[in-house]
Amino acid sequence: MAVVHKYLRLKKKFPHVWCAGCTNGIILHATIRAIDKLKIPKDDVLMVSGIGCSSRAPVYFDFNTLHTTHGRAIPFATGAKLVKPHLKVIVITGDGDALAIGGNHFIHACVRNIDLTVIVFNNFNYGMTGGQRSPTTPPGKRTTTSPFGSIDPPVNVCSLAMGAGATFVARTTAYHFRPMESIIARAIQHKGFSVVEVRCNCPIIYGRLNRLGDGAKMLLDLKEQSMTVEAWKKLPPEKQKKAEQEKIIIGVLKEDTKTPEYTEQYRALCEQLQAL
Amino acid sequence: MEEDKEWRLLQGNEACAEGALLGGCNFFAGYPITPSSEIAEYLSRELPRRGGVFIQMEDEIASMGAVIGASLAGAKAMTATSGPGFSLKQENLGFASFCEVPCVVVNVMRGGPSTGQPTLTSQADVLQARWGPHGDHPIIALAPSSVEETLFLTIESFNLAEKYREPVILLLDEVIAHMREKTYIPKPEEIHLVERKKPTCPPDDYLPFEMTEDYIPPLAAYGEGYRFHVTGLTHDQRGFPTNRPDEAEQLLTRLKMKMEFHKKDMWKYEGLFLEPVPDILVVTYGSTARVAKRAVRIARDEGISVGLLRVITVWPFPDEVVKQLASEVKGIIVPEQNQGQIICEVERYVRRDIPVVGVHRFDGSMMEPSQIYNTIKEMKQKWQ
Amino acid sequence: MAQKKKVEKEKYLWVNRRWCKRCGICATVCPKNVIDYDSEGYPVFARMDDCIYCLNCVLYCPDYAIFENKEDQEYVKEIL
Repeated sequence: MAVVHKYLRLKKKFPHVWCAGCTNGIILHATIRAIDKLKIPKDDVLMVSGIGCSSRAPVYFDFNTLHTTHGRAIPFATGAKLVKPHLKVIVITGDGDALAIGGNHFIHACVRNIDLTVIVFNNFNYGMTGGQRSPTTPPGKRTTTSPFGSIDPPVNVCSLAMGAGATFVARTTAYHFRPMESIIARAIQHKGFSVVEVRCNCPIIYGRLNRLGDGAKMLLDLKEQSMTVEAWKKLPPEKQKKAEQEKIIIGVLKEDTKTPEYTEQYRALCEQLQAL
Repeated sequence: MEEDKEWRLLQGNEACAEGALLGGCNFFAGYPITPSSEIAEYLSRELPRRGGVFIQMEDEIASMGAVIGASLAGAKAMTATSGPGFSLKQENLGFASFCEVPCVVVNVMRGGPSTGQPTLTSQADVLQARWGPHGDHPIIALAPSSVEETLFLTIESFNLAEKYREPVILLLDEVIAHMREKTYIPKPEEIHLVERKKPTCPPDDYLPFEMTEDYIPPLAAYGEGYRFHVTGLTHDQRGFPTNRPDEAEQLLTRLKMKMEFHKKDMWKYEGLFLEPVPDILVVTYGSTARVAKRAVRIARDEGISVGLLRVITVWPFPDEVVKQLASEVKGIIVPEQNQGQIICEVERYVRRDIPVVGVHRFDGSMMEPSQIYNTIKEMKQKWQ
Repeated sequence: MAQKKKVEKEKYLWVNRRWCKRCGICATVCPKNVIDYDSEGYPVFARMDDCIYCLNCVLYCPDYAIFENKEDQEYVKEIL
């Protein structure tokens, strides 16, 4: 039995809702393996999600699970984490959910450095509603609301998170299973707000509109498009900029263990006041 | 004054915060907004001292979200806001109502619509409290009319939320929130606190949305062994999304029945000069009730047969109480600080051809007793 | 229900056809080209002798439809 099978909800009806070739299942498999590797009891995991394709995930896994409103997963998770700090809170969210409707919450959670692990499934479009343009849709790409190619500049998830002060920021792709697994494990272990952007595929809508091939081809393309952050750092500066635009730079981009974590700071304040 | 009893001069907002603490509140998430900010300020001082959680979120939506997350993790959670913020909270409030998450939402009503009159009073959010979130949903709303009552109704709000597993809206208005009055502070042993019904079955058998006999399913907390799912999608008894018509119907029916079955227990109202049944009935609530009482007393001194019903539980509306009174009186007057909201509800339960007249003021100032008194007098004159 | 192909005792892989969505990812990530498709498009472990049991197919299957133990059939029955 694969590790993931030990964590599926036996009572829930499978197969899951995602389309053929969708990579959400792969990312969640890596997430489950990370949780398993860290030996976190199921009771101590709270999986929170917003609305969208990726956000349908929690229902399939045997944890404490919460499927919230569009864009609001992080506030719900913040409330639960503050009440039960021992919970490992993992937020499953998409590019539209985290960056458009939930952008404000995302930024403020980064600033607050509260110990949540946010996994952003970045598939460049709103899959659940039929493939509309999302904040990460690359320029020129077709979606059902950018039929002539998008003219909106895309949001860079990791730059935004780093700029806002998230203390652990990493990027990976659905193709890089083993690195993804270890990155997510590190993100969960990290004390503070951690963001893992996972580049993934929507072959059925986004892929079809942009003639990117089927799920299997799009998955292999992720391998071709990627470059590790270590290799990128070795490039001369003028090539770095070009690579940044053309390649998916994968790996841990930022890890800061010095900034104090919010729930710990809050508890310290409580203890200080109660000792008076 | 008895020595061992404690009275304090409190503002309505402070009484609300104090009531929350006495009611067991251990989580508050909020965002600054006039005229409710004093509640957040008070709790930001008091909650950390007591080991509870206070957090100022990035916006109104987030504070409602955090409250729901906290409640599902086992806390007695509250947020406070006013009109514009209340509008922003509606989606998550609907989530709380649909997923049966106990919590308390204080809405200090100010002049609206839109930004309106932030520092002035109004009662124009009463229908929003009922139908703010989209879709059919259950809701409980209470409206105090004094500072002391605010304190006790805040405690009661937590009890109702926990008992019925529903969000409770506490409808203050700016006048109550900012007025200072002598307030009795009850001792902990005088307060009856209700805790939510927890599951006793083995975790495998737990149904977080079970069709129980009393329509109230037990609620576990996250991290305590019951690994359950909560979703805003229409869900079956296990909490998993469903599109089956029978399961969707069962869920919505149970939510409706929960209110129908328990509404008499939720109802609170105050009657004044209702026995014998008067000719004219004044139905009112919140701060307007104070004005209406004065007007009724003046009219009675002049020999007019008039009585007053002050609705405390605005939602679920005490329909049977109004229906009974409406079957005997000759006319009804409904004063409220808006263009007519609860009057619609009153009209629904009047089955005879009697006048139902509203008295409205919506300029941000308190209604004058004379306004209500004149209406009583006009109604009386029409019969002579 | 389940597609079985037993070649060696220690190397055992099978596809739960109820969950498989025929996306073809398993065959794509297989380094040894072990997997073919049947007439309906479901994967078949055609060349198990070449299989190095890296379990890429299990890890990458987005539908968790590939199992590595015979005993898991009981588990799958429980879920269905």
